Amino acid sequence: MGNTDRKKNTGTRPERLRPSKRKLIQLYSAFLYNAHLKGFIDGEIYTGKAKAVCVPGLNCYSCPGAVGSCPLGAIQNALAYSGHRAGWYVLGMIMLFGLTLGRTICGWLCPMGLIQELLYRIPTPKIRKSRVTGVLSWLKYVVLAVFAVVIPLWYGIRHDLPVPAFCKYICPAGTFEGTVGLLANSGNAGYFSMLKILFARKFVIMLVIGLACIFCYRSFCRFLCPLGAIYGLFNRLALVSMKVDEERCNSCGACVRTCRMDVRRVGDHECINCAGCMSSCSRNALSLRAGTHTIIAPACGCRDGQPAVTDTGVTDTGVTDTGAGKQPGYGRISRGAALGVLCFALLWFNFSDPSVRKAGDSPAGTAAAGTAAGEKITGAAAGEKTAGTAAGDRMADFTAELTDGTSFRLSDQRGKVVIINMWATWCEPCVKELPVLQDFLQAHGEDAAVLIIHASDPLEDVPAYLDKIGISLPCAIDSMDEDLYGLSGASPSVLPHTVILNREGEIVYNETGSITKEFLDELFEKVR
Amino acid sequence: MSKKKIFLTVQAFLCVLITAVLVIFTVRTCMEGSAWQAAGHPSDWIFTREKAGRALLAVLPLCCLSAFMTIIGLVKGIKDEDAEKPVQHGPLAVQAVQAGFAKQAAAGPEKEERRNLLRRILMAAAIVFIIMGILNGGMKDVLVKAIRVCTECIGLG
Repeated sequence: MGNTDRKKNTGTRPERLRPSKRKLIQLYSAFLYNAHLKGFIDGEIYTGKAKAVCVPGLNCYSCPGAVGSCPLGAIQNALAYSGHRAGWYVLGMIMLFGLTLGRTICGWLCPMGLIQELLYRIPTPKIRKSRVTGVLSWLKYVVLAVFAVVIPLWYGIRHDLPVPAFCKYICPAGTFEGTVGLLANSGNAGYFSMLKILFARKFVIMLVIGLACIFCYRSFCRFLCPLGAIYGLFNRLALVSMKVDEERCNSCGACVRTCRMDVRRVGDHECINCAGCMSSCSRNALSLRAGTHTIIAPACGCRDGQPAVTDTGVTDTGVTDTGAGKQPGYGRISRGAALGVLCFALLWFNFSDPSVRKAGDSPAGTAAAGTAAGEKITGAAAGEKTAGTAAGDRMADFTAELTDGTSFRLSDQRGKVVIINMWATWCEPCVKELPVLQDFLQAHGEDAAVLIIHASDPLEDVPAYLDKIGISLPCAIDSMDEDLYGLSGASPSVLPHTVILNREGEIVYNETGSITKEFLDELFEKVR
Repeated sequence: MSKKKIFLTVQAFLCVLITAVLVIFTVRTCMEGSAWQAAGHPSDWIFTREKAGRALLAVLPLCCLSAFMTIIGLVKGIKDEDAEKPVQHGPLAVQAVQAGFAKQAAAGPEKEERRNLLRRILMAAAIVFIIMGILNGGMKDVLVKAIRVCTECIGLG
């Protein structure tokens, strides 16, 4: 909590309730990261090209509002994929964030930090920092090493399976923003079908972390967050950081003792540069700086080597956020620019971004499927324009060109139970269910047909990948227009997805999520 | 016990209770649903909107009460005053803090210069890495994995 927060807490009622500038910046960045507000309404994630860029804070990219990638998710995926391609891009991004801002990101630009601080404002007895919390603060480095580095690397290189373990097993941001964000939309009611023990475990973890944050300041940030751990490694080198004026400092340690984080000294790997310590410094020795430029100066206005003030005890005046001697109107200009950027982001990401892929615009499922779908789909029957995607509907006919050069025409499979599975090589549950589908096809060869459709934009040679993992199922690769995915009405942004048709070509199952052998056997018995 | 302490304790109890109810609901639903699925109903859902709705309805009065108390607490300025006080470290810890500052002060401008140089080198390396990543397709990897989300990777299942 910033020193301005503390000042307000001791002030009169309206002052106490007024948010500090740091809170406003945290709120602003949370909005900016999640500017795709339309996603919360229609339950779809943003699929524009802006997601190629990582945001600095922890913000799950499966959140319907997210317009950028989470650096932690991206680095895990890059490590999991390092057997194929080195993750220079993500490494460079994280290094750049770390070297410019360090843990200032945690204190000022992380939506999870904001959520934790809001939870901490719930009036309850609080657990203060102690030696125990000091020891616990090292836990995040263990979490970083095990869940964000070792497990993704091990599974990626050894088993060619992408397992972003922190996202999968722990990340409360993913559960809150991604899972709950998607489930909260009534259009995604089908997603409940895939909730099992994995969800239960992560949901409980999120609840426990949330509870811990009410009692203990920034519990997740201090004890578990691997992104904070990474930025902490850069904190001493970061361009923006807290600086101690050694000429003024009398080493009283008041800054460290009043800090709620487990810092050992100002600006160390635990310091989130919130500037909260500045109000506790009786010598005005602390400032937040970007290189030689002072961002937040002590309230006295003494800057850049000017004489120190006398010892006046712990000040309650807080700090001026712009520092003394700034040009008048500077704050107004920066506020105006920030507001302009936010307005532009809201307009662009919700209405104007041409790179957003709209699944609903896919020609699939309409009479035009055969003519407009491009080279992958040909020959859809013009009469099947009423084909739907719900259970009981008949699926529109299509012909998909397979990776082995042959083709798969749906109408040729009448009389068989047909399974159409949407997958991708980077999707762990998708890859894990391929052998289940292959076994199913071998067991019911005469009565069943299986088609697996890889998402567009394959990151590697799909036929070679299938050969490598011993899968010989008929496989097609979707076009850039998502024609094949559009046939099922499936959101092309969430994988895996499976459609099962009975012998009459009617849809009996059309859901996102993993399928099991037991489930397939039961369904086959029902529809045969 | 003062009124303030009672207020804070009741609020703490409410928070724990809400969390406990939600945790118990989640665990019980998962265990019962898994057992049901294992008993020969693999296509039945473990969690449903209705079940979730029932659980949320159960904690809604508690959440409302807790939210009301939070507003009262914030308006009246009721909080754990001890949390604001400086931590009284043991003498060893204070020595460690002072030693840290002394070390920092002793480092002098040369170390700062070395740090600036290292920062510049690493920043240049970071930019080179980003360019290399764009060229080797790493940027596309990030995009594709962020717009085609794997359900297990976000804990959906």
